Order: sequence, then C-alpha cells, then structure tokens
Amino acid sequence: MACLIATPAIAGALVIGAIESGLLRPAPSDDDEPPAASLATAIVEGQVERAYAFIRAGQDPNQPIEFQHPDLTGDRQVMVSPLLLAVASHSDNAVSMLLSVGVRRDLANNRFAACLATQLGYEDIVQILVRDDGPASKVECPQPEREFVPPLLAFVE
Amino acid sequence: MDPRTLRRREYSWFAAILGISSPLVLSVCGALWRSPYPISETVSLLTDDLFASPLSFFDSTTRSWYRPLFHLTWWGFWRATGSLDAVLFWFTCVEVTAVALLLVLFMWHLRPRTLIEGAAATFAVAVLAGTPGFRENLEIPMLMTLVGMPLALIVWMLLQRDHRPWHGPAIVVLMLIAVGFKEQGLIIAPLVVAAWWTGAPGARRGTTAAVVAAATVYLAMRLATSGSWATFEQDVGLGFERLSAREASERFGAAPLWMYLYNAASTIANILFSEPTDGRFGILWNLSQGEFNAWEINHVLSSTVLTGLVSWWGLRALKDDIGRPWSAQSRLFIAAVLVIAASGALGFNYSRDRLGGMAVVFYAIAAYFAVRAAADLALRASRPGMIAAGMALLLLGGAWQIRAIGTVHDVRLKAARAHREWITDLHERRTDFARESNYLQILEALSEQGLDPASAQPIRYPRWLRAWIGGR
Repeated sequence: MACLIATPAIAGALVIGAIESGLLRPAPSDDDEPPAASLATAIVEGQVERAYAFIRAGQDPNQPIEFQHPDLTGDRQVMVSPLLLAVASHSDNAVSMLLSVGVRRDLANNRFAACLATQLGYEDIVQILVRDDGPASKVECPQPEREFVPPLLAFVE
Repeated sequence: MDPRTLRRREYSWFAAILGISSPLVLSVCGALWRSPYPISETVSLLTDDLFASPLSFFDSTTRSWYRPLFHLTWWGFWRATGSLDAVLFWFTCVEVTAVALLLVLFMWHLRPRTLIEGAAATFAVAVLAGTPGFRENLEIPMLMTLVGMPLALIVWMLLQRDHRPWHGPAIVVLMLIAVGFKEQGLIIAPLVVAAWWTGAPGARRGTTAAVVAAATVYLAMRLATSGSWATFEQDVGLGFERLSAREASERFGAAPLWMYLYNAASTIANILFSEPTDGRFGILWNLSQGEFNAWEINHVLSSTVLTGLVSWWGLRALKDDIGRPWSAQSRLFIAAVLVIAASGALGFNYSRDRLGGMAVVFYAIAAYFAVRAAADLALRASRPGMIAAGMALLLLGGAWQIRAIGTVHDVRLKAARAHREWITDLHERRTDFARESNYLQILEALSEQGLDPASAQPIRYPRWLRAWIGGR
C-alpha cells in the first residue's frame, strides 16, 4: 500500500531530477514549430524571442537582410530591413522588439515603415511607430504606385 | 518505543521525504531564482518605493491595499545596499527562501514515523506544490503571500506544541508580520481561535485574545479608510464571463453584496475543486465547447476526489471525537475549514487563485491525514478492496504529482513571459516615461536581467506531456 502511494512521488522525483540534470532532454513533438534559422524567418513567423536572440548574438538590426516570400515579396528575392519586414508581416511584437533594441527609424531603409503600415491598414503598428512622436511621425509618405503588389516591394531596394 | 528511538525514526523519515521531494523543491526554487523581474510590475514598484518615506508605507489611506512590510523590504534593501542589483539579489533570496522554508517546514511538520505515513507525506507535498493557491503565488516579485504561508505554518506548529511563555508573543508577532505583507495574513486569527477552541496544547486564552484584538484593530483601521476603495478593485469573473472592474461596478455597484459573496465562494471553490479560476468557470466552458484539455480535467478531478477524501476523513474524525476532547485530527479539520472560509472572505472584492495561498497549506496537511486514514482502512479491508483502494490512491497520487511537475513548468513559463515583455515593451516604457528620470534609470538598470535570454528557458516538452502538465 505504501509503495503504491509513494510510487508517483518517486517517479516524479526521478523525472524532474533527470530533466534538471540534463540526463533526459524531452524531444519536442514533430508538429511543434522549429526554431527559425534566420532573423527574417523569425520575424515573419512571429518568433520574437528567437529574432531577438539573433540581434543579441551580434546581427545588426539596421542592416537589410535577404528575403524571399510568395506573399510578402511575390517570390522575388529582395533586400529588406528587419523593421519593414516586421511591419509587412504584421508582427507588432517584432516591431516593438526592434524599436527596443534601438533600430533607427531615420535610416533610408526604415523611414517609410509607418507609411507601409498605413498602406497595409495596420493601425496598431502605426501607433507603435509614432508613439514617441519621433522621426516616423514626421515622414511624408510617397504616393502608392499601383504596380507594386505586394506593397512591401514599393519600399525595398 | 522510547522517545529517543522515536525521534531517530522521525528524523530518518524526514530525511527520506526530503530526499524524495528535493528534486521538486530545488526545481521550483531554481526556476524562481532564474526568473527575471517583470517590466510590468517591478519598475513602477521600485520607482514608488525606493524614493518614498518609509512612514508613507504605513498610511492606509493612500492605497486600497495595505502591504507596508512588503514595500519596507524594498526600501530597506535599497537603503542598506545602495545598489539596485543588490536589492534584486536580496529580494530574490527572500522569495526563494520563503518557498524552500515552506516546503521543508511542511515536511518537518508532518514528520512521519511509518512507511505508510512517509508515503502519505510524499503525497501531501505534491498536493501543496500542485494547488493553484501555491502555484499562482510563485511570481517574482509578488512574494506577499509566500511570506505569510510559512509564517502561518509556524504559528500552527507552535499551537500544537506544549506551551512556552514565548509562544504567545511569537504568534502575535508572526501574525503582524504576515498581515504587514498582505491582508491574507489575517487568516492566522481564525487559526489561533480554532486551536484555542479545540484545546490545542500551545493555544492560551491570552494569546487568542491578543491575536483577535490585533486582527480587530487592523480591520477597524482598514474599514475606517474604505471610503476611498473602488467597489471592485480589479476585474472579476462571473459564470463564464469576465467583467472589467468598471463593468462590474456598473452592474453591481448599487448592491455589490451578492457579487462579493460570489467572489468569496469562487475563491473557496478554487481551493477545493480548482474551478472556477478568477471567478470564471473556464474549464467548464471549455468542456461545454467540446474542448478537452487533459490538464484541466486532471485539475478538477484530482481536486474534487481529494476534497471528497478530506471531507470523509474530517467528518469521521469529528464523529469519533463526540463526547471526548478534540483530537489533533479534528482540530486540524476545523482549522482547515475556518482558514479556507477566511480566505474566501478576504477575497470578497475579486477572486484569484493566489488568494487561496494561505489555506492550501492546511488543505495539504489535511490531505496527508486523509490519505493516511484511507490507507489504514484499506489495509484492514478484504484483498480486492485493498487492491482497489491502493490503485485509487496510486492514480490520485499520480494526478497530483503531474500537477506538481506542472507547477515547475508554470514558473518557467512565467519567466519566459516576463522575458518576452522586456523584449517587446521596453521601447513603449521608454517613450511613455520619458520625463520620469527615476523611472527611466531603474528601467535601464533592470533591462539587462530582463533581456538576458538565459533568464527564461522553458523546457520544450512534447505536446502530449504539455497537455497533461498545462503548458499554457
């Protein structure tokens, strides 16, 4: 009887002990999202902690990155700034993270981030970008040109 | 058996239980130790407390809550060290020590003497660690109830011992400290009254009178300044809904008594059945929508079965004591009932899992006695009856053990959430508080611990396991 009552506690102690000591590393399920392999993928897939890890590891958040996506770039390979990519992906967390790590909104790559958000109808992201009444709120947006579909292409190199 | 042998046996069993429970205790404490201080609570708290006059913490008119010793602790560490890093270090020490002290004292209090008692003690540790009242208090820096929980247990241990002259003053001081950290410390008053009424060896009339007088003065002081309180201080749950404080005030402001009763009943039901949470029947709602989450069903079923077992044991103990002096078991049952009721009453304004923190200590002690009584009864039953009872206790113990593991996971998830908040909210805070230099200084000083990815590393359990331990 005592063994039956104590068995779960002993099993629990072994499981916790094995996990904490690293003897047992639970494998994530096959259907779990794998960690993104690049900053661009992390931003697009909303893995904000992973995106932050790339920047913390030394990647410059102001430097444009190579990116290709069937919807966001029409499958064209482009160089895009992480901030514009976060806006285009409608990732408000990634936008906030990039501003937190000090992305410069006055750079040519980033200055139309609020314009892109406005054009896409992402009012929540516009609010984040202009919250401090900084450079993003003073930019005059270029007139959208019809041939750029998807809209991100109008703002990238 | 001579007292020395008995004591040696108690120590041996205590060491065995401590050994079995140490992975759980160390994991909870370790996860808490590594947790970052959240941006949403800590920065404002520090800005308010570090530069305030300590006397202002004792002014009950400035805030709707009254936690002078909590705020004084921050201020004291700051004055003593002059370093924000040191303040955070010492505060984490207090929080982690409170958790470790509670769990170790709990095992020490049970002090089993036989194999069955030892097994029941391991069961009870999982119950304590698996309850929502314990789990929801494991949050840095909100240690208010965590400090009160071991203090209430120490008071209970003193009440069970033979009286010494210092016990009375010590009990009063412990209650004042617990109340100074959070209102929930008041549950020590009904605890002392229950012990005195049932003839506990350490409970004297003078001590009881002093405790009741202190609680009465405290309540009078708080009620005298209740004019500044909002009808509902925080969001409340009602049935399947969640109402904002403003909505609740609009709907129930004219006659809030029924809503207060609902909140109190919700807190009590959460302690006993793990449902509702924050006053909202979320698990029932999910079931009604065809959403079956294993951890939710496990929480409700294991709590309901255990509450049934505790009720059976308690009522049997009361029945056995009819016409006789109260036994220790009857005393505990009465104290647990009063403490659970008092926790509900103190949560009248809004219901939260964490408000049951003080009561779950006594619920878990009652679980120890209930399981021990069930095992004793099973041993006297026929062989099929014994096997059936043993299997039932195995399943119930397994269910609570899964909950205890879920608690460790939950602490890590909270740490991950706090880390995420730092990543995403830092810019917003810098913008919103651009003109508050103290706030900004503290924000920047704290940012490194919040942004450090090492502070939050939840284990990526397989999905099926997360379904059982509750990986929200």
